[in-house]
Amino acid sequence: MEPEGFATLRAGEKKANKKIVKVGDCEVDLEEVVRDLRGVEDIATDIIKEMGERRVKQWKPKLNILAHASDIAEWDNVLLNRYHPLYTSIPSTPTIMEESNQAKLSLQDTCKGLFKQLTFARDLLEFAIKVFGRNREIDMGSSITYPTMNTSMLTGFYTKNLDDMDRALSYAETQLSELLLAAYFGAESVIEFEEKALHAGALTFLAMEIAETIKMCCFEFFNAGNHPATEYSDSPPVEIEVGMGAVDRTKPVIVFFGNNFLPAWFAVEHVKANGLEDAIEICGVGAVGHDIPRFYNGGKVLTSAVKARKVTRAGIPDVVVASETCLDFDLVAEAKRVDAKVVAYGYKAGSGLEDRSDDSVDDILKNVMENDLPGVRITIPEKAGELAVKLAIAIKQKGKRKENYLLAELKEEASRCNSCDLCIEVCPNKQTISKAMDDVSALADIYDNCIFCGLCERACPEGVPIMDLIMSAAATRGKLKGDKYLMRAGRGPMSELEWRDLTFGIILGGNGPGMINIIGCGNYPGSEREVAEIARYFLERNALVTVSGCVAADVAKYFDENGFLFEQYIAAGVLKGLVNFGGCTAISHVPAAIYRGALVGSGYTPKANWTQIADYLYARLPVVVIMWGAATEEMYAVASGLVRSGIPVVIGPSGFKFKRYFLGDKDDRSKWWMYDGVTGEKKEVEPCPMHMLVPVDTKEEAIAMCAKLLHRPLALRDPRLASLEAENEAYKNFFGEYSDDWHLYVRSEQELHVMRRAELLRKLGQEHGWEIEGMKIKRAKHRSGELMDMQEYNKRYGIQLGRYSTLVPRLITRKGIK
Amino acid sequence: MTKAKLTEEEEEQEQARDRQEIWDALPKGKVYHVPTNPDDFFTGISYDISPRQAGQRVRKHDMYCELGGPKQRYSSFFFIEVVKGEDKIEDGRVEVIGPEIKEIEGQSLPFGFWIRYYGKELTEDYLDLLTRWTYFALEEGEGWMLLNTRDTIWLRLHKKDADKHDFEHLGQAMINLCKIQFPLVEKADAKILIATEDLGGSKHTKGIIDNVCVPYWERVDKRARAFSDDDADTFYGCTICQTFAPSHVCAVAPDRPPYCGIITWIGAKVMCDLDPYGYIFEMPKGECVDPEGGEYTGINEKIYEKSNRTYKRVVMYSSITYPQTNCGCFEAAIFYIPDVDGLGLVDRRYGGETPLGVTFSKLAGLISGGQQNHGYCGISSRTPRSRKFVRADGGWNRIVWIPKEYKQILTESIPAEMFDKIATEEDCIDPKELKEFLKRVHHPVVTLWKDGETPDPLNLPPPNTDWDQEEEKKARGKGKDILVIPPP
Ligand code: SF4
Ligand code: SF4
Ligand code: SF4
Repeated sequence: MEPEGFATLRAGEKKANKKIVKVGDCEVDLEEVVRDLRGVEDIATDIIKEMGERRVKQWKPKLNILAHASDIAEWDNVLLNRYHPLYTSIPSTPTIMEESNQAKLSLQDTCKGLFKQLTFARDLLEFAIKVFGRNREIDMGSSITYPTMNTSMLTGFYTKNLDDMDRALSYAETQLSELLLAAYFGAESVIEFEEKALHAGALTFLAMEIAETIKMCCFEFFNAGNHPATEYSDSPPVEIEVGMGAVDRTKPVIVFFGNNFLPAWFAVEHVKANGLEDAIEICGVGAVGHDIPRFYNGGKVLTSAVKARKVTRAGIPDVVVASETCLDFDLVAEAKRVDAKVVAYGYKAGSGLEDRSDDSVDDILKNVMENDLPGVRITIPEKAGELAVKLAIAIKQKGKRKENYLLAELKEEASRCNSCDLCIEVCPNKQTISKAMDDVSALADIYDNCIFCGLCERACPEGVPIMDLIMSAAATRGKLKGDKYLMRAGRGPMSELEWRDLTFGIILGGNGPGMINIIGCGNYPGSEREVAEIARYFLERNALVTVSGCVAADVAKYFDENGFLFEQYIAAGVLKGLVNFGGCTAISHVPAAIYRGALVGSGYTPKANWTQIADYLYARLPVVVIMWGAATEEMYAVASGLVRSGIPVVIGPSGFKFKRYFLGDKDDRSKWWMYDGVTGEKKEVEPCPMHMLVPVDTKEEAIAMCAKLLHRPLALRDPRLASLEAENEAYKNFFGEYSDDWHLYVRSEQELHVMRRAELLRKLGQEHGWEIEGMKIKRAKHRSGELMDMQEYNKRYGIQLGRYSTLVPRLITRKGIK
Repeated sequence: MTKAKLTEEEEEQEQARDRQEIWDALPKGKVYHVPTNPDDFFTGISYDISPRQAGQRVRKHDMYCELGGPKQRYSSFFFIEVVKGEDKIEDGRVEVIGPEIKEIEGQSLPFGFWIRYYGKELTEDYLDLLTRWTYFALEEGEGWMLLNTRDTIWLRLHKKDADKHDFEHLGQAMINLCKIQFPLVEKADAKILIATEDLGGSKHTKGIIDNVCVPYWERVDKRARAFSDDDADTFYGCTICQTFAPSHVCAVAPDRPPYCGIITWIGAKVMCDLDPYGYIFEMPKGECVDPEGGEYTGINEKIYEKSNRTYKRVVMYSSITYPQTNCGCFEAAIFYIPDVDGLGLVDRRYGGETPLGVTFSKLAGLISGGQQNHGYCGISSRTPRSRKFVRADGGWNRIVWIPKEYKQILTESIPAEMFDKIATEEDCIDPKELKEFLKRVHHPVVTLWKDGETPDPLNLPPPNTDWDQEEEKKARGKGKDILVIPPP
C-alpha cells in the first residue's frame, strides 16, 4: 500500500479534490488563492471567510500565508520598479563593485539584523514557554482590535498563544536560512537580492513583535492595550528619570546593559519582594534601559546603548549586568577601572568570566566578595537578578568603592599628550581633542559631541585616558549632575480608537500634516538635542510624533521654559501627541500602528494580505519614519521592512553612510502612475512619495525631506493643503526658497494655504507658466507642457479625489459586480 | 401663506433698520482701511493662520489679555450678519472702538466683534459658513484661544505672541479670510468694540446682544431649523470615503448629516460651487417613493452610479433596511440587537462592551468598508439630533440602549418620556438583563414582542443582499407600529 499523502502528489488527484470555500453565494477555490495549500488550508479558509463575500467578489484574493520572499513579488516589484536601489560605494573597497554584488552585501546586512532580532525573540520565547507553558494565552488587551499584525501580515494568523508564536518564529527561522543561502551563495539579480532583503526586513518586524508581545503579555510591561482610551492623554505618566544625574549614588547602583531584560525583571522582583524599592537604584542602558520603566517606574534610563561607556567612565555602577548586547567593548575591563562587579547573563555574553550558574546565590556572593573576583557568568535569569541586587548591597555596605572615579588632576594626565593628533583622525565626530588638552572648558565641550566610542584612547600612543579627561572636565562643569530629565515609559501599541481620531485630523481633514515616527539607536554624531528638535518642530505643527528605540531618551532631553518635551505634549496617538512606543522591539508598533490606520478605513484583512494593505497605506496615509543614527545592522533590516510596508524612511544625520537607498526619479514621468480602481485605466499621478529610503545630512534637511514625503497621490483636499504647506514652509524657512517641484502637487487653488495663496498663485503664473485669474487658477500647465483648463487638468493628472485607485492590477475591482 | 411671509419679511426689514441704527450710533473709534485687493489680503499680518494653530489653549498665567468668557459673565458677542444693500457697506473699513491690544495687558474685558458681509448672491443661508471662515482668524490664529461662539465667546491671547497682534490686523484677517474662501462675499466691514468702563462696560455689550444679536439669531435659527429635506430639490453626494471603502457613497441631506460630521448640506452646496473638481456632487432628489424612510428615485440612481453600480437602494432614515454605507471613520454607530428587537447607539468615546458583546472598535471594524450592512449604520455623533433619526425603524421609540455619557450629551434630542426607558451600561449590558430592563420600564419595543414577552427578531439579510420582500414589509411594519413622531 502507498503511504498516506502520496496521492496528493499526483496532479490528477489534486485537481479532483478542489478545495472550495463558500462565502455567501460565492465559491472560492483555495488552490487559486494560495500558492501551495498544503498545511495551510485551515488558515486560508478562515481568512477567506473573514474577508466575506463582498471583498471576494471585489477582487481576486491572493494570500501570502507563511510567505516566501517571492510570494510578495507582486508588491515588491511595484516598489523596486519605481524606486530602483541605489548603492553608495564603501570608501574602503578598492574597486568599484558590481551592483549585484552590492545588492548581495545589502542582503547580508539585512540578514544580520534579522538574525539578531530572531535570536533574541527565540531566547525569550523559549524562556516564556518554560515558565508559562505553550498554551499561555496572548491577549493584547481590550483596546486593541487587531493584535499581532507584523506577524499576521506574513503568516496569516495572529499569535494567540505561545504555541502560535513558536510556529511563527520557526517559520521566520526557516526563512532566514533560505535568505542566508542566497546572501552568501546566491548569484541573483539586483532586484532578486533586494526582494529578499525586503523580505528579511519584514521578518525582522515579526521577530521584534514576538519579543515585544511576550514582554507585554507575559511580563507585564506597560501596554496601552489594557487601558481605556480615556486614559491615553497622560498615560504612562511623565515620571521616568533619564540621565546619569538622576542616579543617587549614595545607594547601591545596578546598571543593566544589553537587550535582554530578564535579569532586570527578576532583580526588580527581588527588590519588590524585600521592600528595597527605596534602598537601591535600578538603571539601564540601551534597550534594557527602556524596558525597565515599563515594569518598574523606579527604573532609570541612563543613556543609549552606543554611549554605554559613558556610564562606566563616570563610575556610576556598583554592579553591571550585561546580557547579549549591543555593546562592542570590554565591559569587564571597563568595570574593573571603577571597581564595579560584572554579572554576565546568558550563553552568549562571552566575557571570560567563570560560569557559576550551578551554585547558590549566597555562595557566589561570598566568593566574589571575599576573593574580589571581577564578576561571574550566570545563565539563569532569576539567579542573575537576585545576585545583582545582593552584590550591589554588599559592595556598598563594605565600602568597597571610591566615592568618585573622576580625575582630580587633569593637567597631569593631559601633559602626556604629544600633539600627534592621531586621536582626531580616528574620532568619528572629528573632535579636536589634542587642542583641548589644557583647557577644561574645551574638553567639557567635547563631552557634548562625544559618543564615548573609545577610538581615540585606543589610537593614542601615549596612553592618555582621553575619555576620563573628557568625563572629568564635563563633571567639573556640572554636566553630570545636570544630565537629568523626565520622560514617559514606553506604552506599547497604538489603538484603533486613536486612529479614528487621527483619521479626522490627517486623512479627512488637514489639521495636522501627518504622523512622524522617529526611531533609532541614538548613535549619531552631533548634538542629542537635534532629534528632539525635529520632534518638536512637527509637534508644534500639529503632527502626531512617535518615538521608539533608544532615541526616545534623547527626545526626553529637550527642555525649555515650558518643561520637558514629554510634559508639553499629551501621550495619546492623536494630533499633537507625543507617543513613546518603547525600546528597540517596540519599533514593531510603528508599522502595526500604521496598519491599524489602514484597517480603520478599509476593513481589509491584515492576514497574509500584504499587497493589499501596503498598496492601500502607501498611497493614502501621510506617515514617514525618520531613522536618526542608522548605522547598525538592526536598523538596516528595520529600514528594509518599513519600505516593504509602503512607509517612506528618511535616514540621517550623515545618512549617506547607509550604503543603499530607494530613490524615486521625479522627472521620469513613466514611473508615476496608478490604475483607476474601477475602470483599470492607467493614470499619471504626482511623483509621491518621492523616495522610500533617502539619506539626509542635517536636521533641517531631515525636516524638509520629511515634509516632502508626506504627499500622497490619494490624499484628499485638506490633507493635500496640509502637506503642501508643510513642505513649502520648511523649504522657505530653512533654505530661503520653495522647492523646485512644489507646483507638481497643486490641483486647485483650494490647496494653497490662504496666507500664501496670492504669492503662490503669482509664482505659478510667473515661474511655471500657469494662467491665473484673480485668486483662481484658470489654466494649468500639464507636465507635457500643454496649457489646459482645470477640468481637463484634473482629468489628465492625478487621481480624482476620493476615487479608489491602486498600483496593483489584481486590485482593480472586478467588473460588473452585481 | 402670503400673509405669514409678508410679516416675516417685514420683521426682517424692521430688524435690519434697528441694527443699522445701533451700528451707526456706536461710539466713534479709530478707522482703518484694510486691503481689499486679494493680492494684499494678508499683507501686514504677522501672525500665522493655519489649521495647525487650531485648538490652542492659553492657561491663565500665559495670558496676555482676555476677552469675554466666564469672568465677564459671558456678556460679549461675536456677531456676523449679511447685509442687504451694497451702499450700506464701505468695503475694508475696520473700526476699532476702545483700546488697542498693547494697551490692555493683563486685563480681562467684555467685547464685541460685529462683522457685516454683503454680496449680490449672499443670503443668510450661508451664515454658518461665513461664521466658520471668519472664526478661522482666531481659531487657527497663532496665539489665540477661542472657546464657544456667539454670546458665550471667550478669547485669550498668549503672552509670547502678543506683540504680533493688534485689532486692526485681526479685523483684516477676519474679513479677508472669509473673502478669500468665499467669493460670494463682495464687501465687508467690521467694528471691534473693546468695552472698557468708560465705553459702558458689559452693560453696553449686553445691550447690543439683547437688541441686535439675539433677535437676529432667533430669526435665522428658526429658519434654518424649519429648512428640511422637503425644501431642497437636490441633495449632495460625497465620495471622499471611497478611497477607504470602494463603492461607498454618502447622500447628504438637510436632515441627514454624513457620519463623518465634517459636512453639512449647506456646506456641501457651497463646496460644490467652490471646488467643482472636488469630491462633492449634486444629487437631484427625483421622486420621493418613501417619505417616512426617506427614499428617492434620484438618490438611488446616483448612488447606483457613484457606487460603481454596487448599491441600488438607500433608505436614508433607516438603519435596518437599506441603510447608508460607511467606511470606518464614523463617530458613532447604530446597531440592531436581535435579543430585544431594538436598536442600540454607541459612540467612539465609549470603550466598554455593548449588548452585542463587542466594543465600539470591534463593531466599527465589522461594519466598515463600504458595505451595506442591514441593521448597522455608522453615523455622526450629531445625527441623532435629526428630526428624522431612524424614523423608518420607529425613531426614538426603537432605541433601547446608549452609553451613559453619550446619552447625557443627547439629552435634548431624546424625547422626555423616552429618556428613562433607554438603558445605559450602568443598567445593563447583557441582553438578557436588557430584556428584563425594557419590560420593567415599559419600553415601546416591548409592544413588538409576542405577547409582550418574547421578542420576535427580524431576519436580517447578509450585507449587500436585498431583503426578502415579505421580511422587508415586516421590518418596516414594526417601525411604523411604534413610531411616534416627537413634537417639533
Ligand atoms: S570617544 Fe569621543 S572623542 Fe574619542 S573618538 Fe570617540 S567620539 Fe571622539
Ligand atoms: S593621540 Fe594621544 S598623544 Fe596624540 S594628540 Fe591625541 S591625546 Fe595627544
Ligand atoms: S462620510 Fe463625510 S467625507 Fe466620507 S463620504 Fe460621507 S460625507 Fe464624504
